[in-house]
Amino acid sequence: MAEELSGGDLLIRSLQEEGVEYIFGYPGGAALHIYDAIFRQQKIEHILVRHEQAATHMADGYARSTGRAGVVLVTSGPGATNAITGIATAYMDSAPMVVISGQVPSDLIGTDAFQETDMVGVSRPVVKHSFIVKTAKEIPSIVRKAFHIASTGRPGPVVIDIPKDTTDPNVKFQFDFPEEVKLRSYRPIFEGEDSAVDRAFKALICSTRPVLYVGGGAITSGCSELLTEFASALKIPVAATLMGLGAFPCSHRQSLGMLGMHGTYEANMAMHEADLIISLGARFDDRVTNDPKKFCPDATIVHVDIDEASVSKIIEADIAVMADSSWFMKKIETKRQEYLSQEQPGDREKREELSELWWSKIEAWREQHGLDHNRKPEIGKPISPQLAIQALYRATEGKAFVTSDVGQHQMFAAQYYKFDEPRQWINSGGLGTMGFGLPAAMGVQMGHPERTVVCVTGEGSFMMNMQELSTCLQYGLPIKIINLNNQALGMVKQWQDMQYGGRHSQSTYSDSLPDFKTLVEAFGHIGIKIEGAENLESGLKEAFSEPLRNKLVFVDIWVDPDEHVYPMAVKGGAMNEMVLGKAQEEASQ
Amino acid sequence: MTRQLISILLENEPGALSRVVGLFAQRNYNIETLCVAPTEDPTLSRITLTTVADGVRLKQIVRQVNKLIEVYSVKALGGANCLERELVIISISNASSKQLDSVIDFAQSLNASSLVKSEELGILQFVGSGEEVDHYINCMNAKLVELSPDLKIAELVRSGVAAIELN
Ligand SMILES: Cc1ncc(C[n+]2csc(CCOP(=O)(O)OP(=O)(O)O)c2C)c(N)n1
Ligand SMILES: [Mg+2]
Repeated sequence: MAEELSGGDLLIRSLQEEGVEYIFGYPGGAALHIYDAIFRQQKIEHILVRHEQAATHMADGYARSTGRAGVVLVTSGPGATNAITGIATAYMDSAPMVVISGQVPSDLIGTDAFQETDMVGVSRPVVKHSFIVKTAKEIPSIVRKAFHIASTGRPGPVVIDIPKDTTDPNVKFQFDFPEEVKLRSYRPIFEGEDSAVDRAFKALICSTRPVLYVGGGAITSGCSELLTEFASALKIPVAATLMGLGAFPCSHRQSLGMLGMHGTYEANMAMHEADLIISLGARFDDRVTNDPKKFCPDATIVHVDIDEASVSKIIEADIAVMADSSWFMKKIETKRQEYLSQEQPGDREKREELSELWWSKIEAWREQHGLDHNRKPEIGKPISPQLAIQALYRATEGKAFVTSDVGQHQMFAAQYYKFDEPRQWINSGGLGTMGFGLPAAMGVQMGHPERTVVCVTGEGSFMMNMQELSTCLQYGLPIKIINLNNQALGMVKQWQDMQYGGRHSQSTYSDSLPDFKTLVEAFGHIGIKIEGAENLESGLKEAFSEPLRNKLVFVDIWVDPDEHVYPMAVKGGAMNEMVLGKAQEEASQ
Repeated sequence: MTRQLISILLENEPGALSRVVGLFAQRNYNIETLCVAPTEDPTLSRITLTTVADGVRLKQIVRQVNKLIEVYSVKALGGANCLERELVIISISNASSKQLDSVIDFAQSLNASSLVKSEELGILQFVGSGEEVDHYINCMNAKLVELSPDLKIAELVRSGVAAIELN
């Protein structure tokens, strides 16, 4: 006979059955029965954060870097509402997460009880799904369903709201973990229609200027290897969204880097002039398309997405493939093999000739305005943030997991760190949550104890969740924090420079910034301050040196406060309309 | 922009309806009418709703609704492939007995039925397609004005459209 367990124990046992390693959480009244159940077991480690928002970002970083759902536990009321930003962040970027929130006892729900918030209601617009537990008995099956929903189809956060009475230690039920999930109304698609793949391949073979446009969905689906093989074989250029970086190796010759608002010149030009765009797990976000009416005028659009609501949402697809990207890649690779076996003499030469033509155009764009254009360190000048990221790339041999916050530093990291592996680059692309970087890095480090984990941040973003430095000490997380300190909310300031006549409304701190070196030392970590271009390389070398390997190191790099992120899309323009540098910007004003 | 009928089968569970309604608010879709009740299978509810959208938007709405975990199926119903019915109840007060008689006579000629008739109050019921209900209300308004400029519908309650597929 199965053992009898209370609701709290049923919950923890169910999480164990799901293979959960870590719970990121923070206790409080409504969750205390659950916390007691955690105390009485050893299998799952609970990570005590300093703010519930950070718990959600940690779970998110863990999830995005491992592919397994991250787990969060918070109490009712303020604990639950503090988690909302992180839930919304995971929702926008389709990260699998299960958030367990304590709730006031069932008989108090609806009475404005102490620390009562309608968590299911408050979180509803930013979750994939949510449950409220009615009786302890249903906890195992709800947990099973929650993980299933969070991790399949287009992943996302799922909330389980647990009223305190349902975890009462004195009310026990048999533990019975369901093997199968029964959800008749949830049928995520995986396989699409063969005929659509057929049409996509034909369109590809007939095209002379194809581009692969890959997004976060390509990473989630795990199709990188197939994608790389396929694109290499047919010499198709690959542009990635902010979320898709790493799906195709950025250091590959065929990588055009990032596209969109701050995308590379060649990626945006190639998109605009393409006659065929194959989109893999990307959603034609407004930061990519700019004005949808002017988007890629000559291109046939093949849109592959596991979420049918994403297909043709912004740009009407000519060929819609509602399927997982890896399914699509497998199918289209088979088509390619078939095609090769039937190729007529001369076909191949002709195809390669056309490809050469397309590539010569792309190379010309690269030549005209590559990212490295005109950037050399100048002694005595402030450090250029772009060079700082390039130096970081060298110091980590391109192998680090990199998380970032939101702002100019995020764009510099996306542009200049060449991500060769999927899941290596983790940032808040959809919601753009400042404060994401540090806790996300902590989650990544928990999931990958042996790897170098770097958080590229800005002083503004860092101060939104810096309390987690304390958590880092508690759990010995040797994260390397690269603070591109421009003494300003740089991205805001950039927009004010470009669109508000340089009026810096509330984007600077008038000399009130803390001395970060001393600050992190107070938290028990190592601080390094780097000023002056000549000290960049040596400072970073020290930060990543062997003696500091097991330490959290905060590198405060004082960068040029006047730097802007370029290229920058022209507001309301087409993808080929970009401001490429300060000279052009000033001339246009 | 045209009126669209959407029929949704969803799990008959607490909170399921609020997800559908919430989705409409969240994504800036409007709901003109809404009608919900359990079906022949008591574990499923049927929502019939009408909205105003062009074809592209309608497709988006259907796909977004379909993504909700508790939605079993969703379909846009159009013109000939469905039969739709709506109920409207109107009350008329401050009419003389004679006026009320002629109002009821007129309503019955439009296939409405009289539910209540007392000295100060008349209540009428009409069933038809949404369009027929609109037409009936217009006719009733016109009739009341014709009888006396002071007469008007005191209260009007519409059920929202329910619809069944024909094939
Ligand atoms: C929580 C939150 N609040 C506000 C913003 C708007 N915002 C975007 S970038 C930015 C400035 C970020 O400053 P910092 O972290 O120093 O980065 P920098 O741009 O200077 O590199 C702000 C305020 C945001 N993205 N997130
Ligand atoms: Mg800054």
